[in-house]
Amino acid sequence: MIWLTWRQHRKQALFGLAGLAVLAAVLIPTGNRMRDVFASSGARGCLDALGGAQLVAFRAAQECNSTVERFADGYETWAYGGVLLMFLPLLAGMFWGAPVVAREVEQGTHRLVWTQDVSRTRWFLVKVGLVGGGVLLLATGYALLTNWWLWPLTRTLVVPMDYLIFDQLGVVPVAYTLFAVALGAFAGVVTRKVLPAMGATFVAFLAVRGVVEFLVRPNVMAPKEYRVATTTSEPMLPNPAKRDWVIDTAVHNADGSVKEPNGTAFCLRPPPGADASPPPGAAQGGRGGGCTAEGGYNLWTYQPSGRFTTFQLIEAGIFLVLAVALVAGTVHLVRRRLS
Amino acid sequence: MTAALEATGLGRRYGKHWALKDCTLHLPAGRIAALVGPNGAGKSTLLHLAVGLLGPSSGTVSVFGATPGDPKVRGDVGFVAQDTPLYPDFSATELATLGTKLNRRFDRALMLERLNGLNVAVDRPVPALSGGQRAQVALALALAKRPRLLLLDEPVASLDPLARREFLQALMGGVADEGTTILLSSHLLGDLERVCDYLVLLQAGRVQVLGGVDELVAQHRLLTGPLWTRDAGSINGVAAVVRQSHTERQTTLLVRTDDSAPAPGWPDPQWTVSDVSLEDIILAYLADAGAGTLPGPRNLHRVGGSA
Repeated sequence: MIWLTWRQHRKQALFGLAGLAVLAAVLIPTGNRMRDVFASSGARGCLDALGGAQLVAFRAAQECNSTVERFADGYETWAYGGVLLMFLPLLAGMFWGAPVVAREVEQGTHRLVWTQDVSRTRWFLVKVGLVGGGVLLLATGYALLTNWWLWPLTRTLVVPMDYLIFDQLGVVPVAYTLFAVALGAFAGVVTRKVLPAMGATFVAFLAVRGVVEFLVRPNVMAPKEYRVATTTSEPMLPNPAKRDWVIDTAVHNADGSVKEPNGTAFCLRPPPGADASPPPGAAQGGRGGGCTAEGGYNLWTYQPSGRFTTFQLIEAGIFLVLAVALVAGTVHLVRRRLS
Repeated sequence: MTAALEATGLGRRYGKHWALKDCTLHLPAGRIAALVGPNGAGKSTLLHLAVGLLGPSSGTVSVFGATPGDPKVRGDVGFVAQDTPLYPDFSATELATLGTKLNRRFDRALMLERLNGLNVAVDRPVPALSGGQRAQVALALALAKRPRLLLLDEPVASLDPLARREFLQALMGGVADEGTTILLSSHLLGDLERVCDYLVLLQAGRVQVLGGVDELVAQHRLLTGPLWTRDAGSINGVAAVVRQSHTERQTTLLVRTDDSAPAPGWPDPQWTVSDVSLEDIILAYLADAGAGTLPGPRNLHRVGGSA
């Protein structure tokens, strides 16, 4: 069975390895270059200097932010291009998962292979186990590469827990890939044809990913809040080095009502010897100035970056459980439904 | 006698449609049986049930006394599926490796020798072979398991006459010394008549005719005589009329007799009695779904003459 699986899937395995090699050939040089620039632009140094405090002085944050922007300007397209890597698990599901059973049924070879001594349960489990194992290795390689490559960007341009970025980091890409392959195999047993199975895999994968991403993930743990009074002599901003996932930023009146959604504002009480005007960019979105009545505050709603691992494990767990359930469902259908 | 294949009240349903219903049959070991019936009669369904690809919706089926698919008998049953599916891009040698790896008992050398003997290029990918050669590869793969029961689902349907003859020769040669029981479905009645000694005729999901070819041929006679307008079943010694046709002056009856060796001069001088071929019998029964003959006391349907 192992021989047969290898004989049937060796082209896919070589294709996968070649794809991974191409990916490495692109990511390793560009990643090295990005790390060099990250250090030489001073972005890395200023972020390290900000330390781990929740809030940092407005001026220090702004200075570091402008250094970071100089670095990030050159890499913005890279960060968004990197989003394409998110589709690799889907490709694995469509091209490796969907044909596992569907191609056999389409060619009629299931009638050949299921009438040998080996039972069809064993046949399927060895096949899906080996394909899954190969996919696990490739996905791990791919995840290691993207994690390494994205590191300077996740410290500057994007936040690790943000939508679409989280999905490329940590262990979730591996879980998505295993899920996609199990989904493809299941779709193949249901549709019995390769192309419809690929289509169904595409649709179902995006649907499940979307539901988990936008409906489940934000509700795993309640977000936390920062409050900073608008009227202050020492404005503070969330520490950009901490990489918290800021979900919402708004200026509130003292009674809690929203004065400015999507904004940050400060009303500087001129301290002795300080610059009276707010530094450039301080009142983003805070049209009309940040001067609320006494007691107004900026409110940042955020997921702390420290939750990254917890969120990763929960999401990877969800997709692994789904993958196991799909494999179990496929075994059931292979045993009962097909002939 | 041990039954290679036995079915009792066997049925298989797809949704509301019964592809096979109330099928009771007994295939004695060592027979080479033809499985005949119009398209959609349930031939493939019966073969798939017998090889364990399908499970029954009702009734039971057993091969050598065990449920098909049971590990005890898996190795004893060989199967050549319709259109002889093989992995494209595999060569015959690789298919032999597949057989070796997936079976406890597999005679790899036998398979390759057999194919070499037929001048089949064993190292070329299967799609590069002719249809006849592909069918030979599928047959050699099934025979290399040295099965005690070999089921073949229309293996020669797509082959030209020469390839068909070669295939059937290979089949007969392959099982000659082994006492292998064969159940072979086909529409090519002439081919079946040449190789088979047992008949299973399915019609609309049911077994219509079942029995040894010699017995069936001996039981049936063609009677030709003057126009006969009375009930043909009343003729002495006629158990049933399978088919009748009339012209203005003549009546032709294909009848099943009570006695498989009627005395000379039977039934009376006005009838000319002639023997019938298996093909004649099959065609007569296919034309009339109501007629039936089943051996054994428990299944003896005494169906009267035709309309």
